Amino acid sequence: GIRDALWTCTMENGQNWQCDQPDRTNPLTDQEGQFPEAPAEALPVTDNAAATKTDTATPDPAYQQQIGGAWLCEANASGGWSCLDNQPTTGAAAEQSSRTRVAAPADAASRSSDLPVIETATQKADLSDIRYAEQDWYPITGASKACYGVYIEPDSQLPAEDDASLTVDADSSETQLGGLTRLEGNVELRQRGHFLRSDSAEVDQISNQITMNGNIQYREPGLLLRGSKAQTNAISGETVVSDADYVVHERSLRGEAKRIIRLKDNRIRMEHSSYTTCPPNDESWKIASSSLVLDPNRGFGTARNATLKVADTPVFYFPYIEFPIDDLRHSGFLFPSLGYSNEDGLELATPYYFNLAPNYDDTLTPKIFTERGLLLENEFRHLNHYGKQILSTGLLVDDTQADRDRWLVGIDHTGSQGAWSSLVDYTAVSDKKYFDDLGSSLAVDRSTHLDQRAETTYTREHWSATLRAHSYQTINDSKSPYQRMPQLQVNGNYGYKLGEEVVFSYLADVTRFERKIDDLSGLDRVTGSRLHVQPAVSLPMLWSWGYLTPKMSYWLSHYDLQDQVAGQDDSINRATGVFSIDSGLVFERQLDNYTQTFEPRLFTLYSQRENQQGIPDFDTAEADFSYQGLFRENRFTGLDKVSDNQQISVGLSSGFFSNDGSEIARVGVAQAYYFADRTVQLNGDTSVDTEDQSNYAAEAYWNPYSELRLSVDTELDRSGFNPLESNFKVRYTPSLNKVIGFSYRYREDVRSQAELSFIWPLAPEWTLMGRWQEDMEHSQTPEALLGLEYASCCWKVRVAARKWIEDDSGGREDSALFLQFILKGLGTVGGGTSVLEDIIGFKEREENDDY
Amino acid sequence: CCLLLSACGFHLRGSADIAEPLRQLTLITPERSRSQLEPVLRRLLEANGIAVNAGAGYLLQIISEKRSRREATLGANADIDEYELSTKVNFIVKDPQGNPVLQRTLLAERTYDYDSDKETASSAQEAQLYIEMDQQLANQILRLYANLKPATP
Repeated sequence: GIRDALWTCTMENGQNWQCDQPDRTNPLTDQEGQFPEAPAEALPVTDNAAATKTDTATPDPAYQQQIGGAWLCEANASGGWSCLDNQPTTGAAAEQSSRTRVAAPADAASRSSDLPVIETATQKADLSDIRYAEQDWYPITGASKACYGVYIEPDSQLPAEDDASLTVDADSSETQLGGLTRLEGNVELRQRGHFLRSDSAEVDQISNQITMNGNIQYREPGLLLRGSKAQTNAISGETVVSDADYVVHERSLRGEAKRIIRLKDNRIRMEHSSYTTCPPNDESWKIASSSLVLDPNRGFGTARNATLKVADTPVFYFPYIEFPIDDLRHSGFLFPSLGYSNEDGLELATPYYFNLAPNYDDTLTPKIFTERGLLLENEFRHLNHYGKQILSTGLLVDDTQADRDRWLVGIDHTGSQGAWSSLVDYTAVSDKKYFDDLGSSLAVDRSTHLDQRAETTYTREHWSATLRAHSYQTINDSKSPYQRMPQLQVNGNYGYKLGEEVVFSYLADVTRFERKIDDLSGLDRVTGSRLHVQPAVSLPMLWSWGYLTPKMSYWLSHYDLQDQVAGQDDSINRATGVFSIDSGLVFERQLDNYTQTFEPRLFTLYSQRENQQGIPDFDTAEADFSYQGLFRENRFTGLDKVSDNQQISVGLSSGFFSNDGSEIARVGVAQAYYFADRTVQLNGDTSVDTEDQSNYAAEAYWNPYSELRLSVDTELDRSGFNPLESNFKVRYTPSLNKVIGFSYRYREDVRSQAELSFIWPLAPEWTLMGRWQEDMEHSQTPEALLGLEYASCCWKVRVAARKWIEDDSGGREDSALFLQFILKGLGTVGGGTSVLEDIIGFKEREENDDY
Repeated sequence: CCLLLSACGFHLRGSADIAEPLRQLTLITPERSRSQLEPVLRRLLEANGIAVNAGAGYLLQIISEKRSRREATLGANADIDEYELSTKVNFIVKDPQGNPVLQRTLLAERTYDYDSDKETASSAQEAQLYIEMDQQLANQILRLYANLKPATP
């Protein structure tokens, strides 16, 4: 699958350039067809000629195979196939999974229909501009895209594919003795789904050869050939056009050729031809080849002895090259990548794509590092009615740098059927440096733990059960986390009508917590199992003007612990009652174009005090202070600690709603009043909270247009209203190509950090993008990235400069320059864009359109 | 207090009944992965007097439901200080004739303090925040749905 080619060159710390270059050397077997054969039988030129129907096994463009589970794939900009599983379950959603086509402007609009602003909706082809109408190329008006035009096939009067009769029209005709007919003026031939016109023609009724001269135009669905002379065989349909040019509409492909031969099996063979995705009159790049075959049956184009010319200067030579001419997947080499770095030496990767079946495929990538050895990477994707699964593996036997074997195993699965669902997310690597050494040199992955998780859930109307095993591989120097090996969790929720509805719910959780304790001491070494049962009964009363929900729950837990610290029991029981009443009123007033609500909320909480010092914090942390947090029954997350809060929380909140029910804005402030000290604390924290009121939590949110979102939340000191924590966020997203995000997060003596991220077009062809993180607390810049993209209709170039602080490096700063060329429609080498993916909206922009 | 409120034009919200045709609803979720939002939304709809039956009148389809996590802030050593969680849900409502009457993409976000020495607690905290985000999204969906004005037959 080849569509976009790019070279990626990077320079790290000003030292050496590292480039990925397309270098396609992949001699597959030649599958070209034979040169047109002599006609087999005579055919009279009449309207109702009897002729044998040729077999035309063109793939059905509707591509219905996704029904019942097939990957829905498109060639993407990073070298492989982007595949979706067809998500919606019913026919009602069939349009969501129908194949998207590339060129038509109307389609582009429907593709991005759920995005904030549909820029493409204004793109209409201007059919009055006829400068390149001969090549079916029409400008698009109102577009801010680099591509200012589109190929549009005329509403065709093409005959049906199975209509073998030959129709000939001309201004005048003259039949000579010996079966030669001369046609003059606007000669038009129609037969078997194709159309031919010329200024004049000669029809030889004995050989069935038709020789046409002047302004040749040949059309069949998706294809236009033009030339000065043509020869066609009335029986086989084989047509030769000389001094020709051509257009493949769906791929926005055009080119020229000395001769174009349309073979009887629908393939198009060209001699001394060129092809490019550049629009007419744009010669930015093209591929010239001695022989080129477009095979609509296989969805392939193949070129031999091909030379890539950029601005008419030869740049690369390919003995053999293949490129897709539709969106059907097929097996073959993806673009190889070539790189160099001091540590790894020369690096060459040649991915091969196996299109095994509609619902599974495989990509094998041998990667040679001259200083390390051969790394074999493989990705197998599978999809069925139940779910999807991806198996990734990597193996480098005897890395000569690290002096050991390097490997990776990754399993990714989600599935559901009826009441059952399951999930597997598992990654394991041979050593902590695997990703640093063998991953992309520019992607900075700061995550510290690899998930190793499998779970299955059984869901019924009133209850669900989840069985889970969750462990981690730690790839930095963090403490080894607690692993849930295993965890069984059952949730139930039943409603009974007893006047008002009484809701009975429960949570039952049995978990065995394990951890590698070799390097740990004290409390950290405690492991064990926990049995937790938490029944609850509540009486929710709902009115349009308010609600009142009294609730009582009981926390019953039993711990069996190993390696318990001195002075604490190995076996601990806990029984704590939690009683709460949540209530609120809703006032409303109608303003001009919206409704304003005023919603006071009162939350009363009483939790019994229970000494929980001997209980380790397996999965428990204290939740961050927030508006929402003041209305929770427990100020801890997880199940190991129940807070001993006796409090009343008061919240005042006001919302603004437009007439369709969308929330446009909300402001709120809340505070809690405590009637007892909070003695229950996380282990290692012996201080008791004695304040009798909390700080103020305030939040505001404003969404004046769908493109603009602003939010702020803050913690204000209870005595002086000084902000202790403030978080601001602004997101402006007028279109896919215009995204600005700004955020500032502040917490006294902890952090003061701003982030700016933007994608902004300077002109239709030029886009500036970047991301800046500034850490004022530590006076450093963790991340600075500035990129500039130039995109024409058929190529683009990106330059980016990046400076960042490496994690686990003691604050070492790193920098890189980054250069990327993309020739649209040619092929790709991957990995180069990962550096830009942290820019907000960049991935979406890449996925949804090729700006 | 109430006197003050009414002076500003506020009044207790009246019984804004959900229109009768909207009280029968079919709920459809993405295939091949469990919808986390679905049970929350179903319970909320039912609590508000909307019968959720397969095959009934209006159709509410969750087209996609995507949870993601990104680094919000970094610490002194460029390690992760806070994570930002987001849940994006795209849904469509069709009337009994199959005409789309509402399509939205809603987003909920939360940020939390991350401690790489307490990965298990962080993961439990994430799970709880995601549940709260689902509740927030379900409330917004309900509000938008209840606001629909069915064409009177």
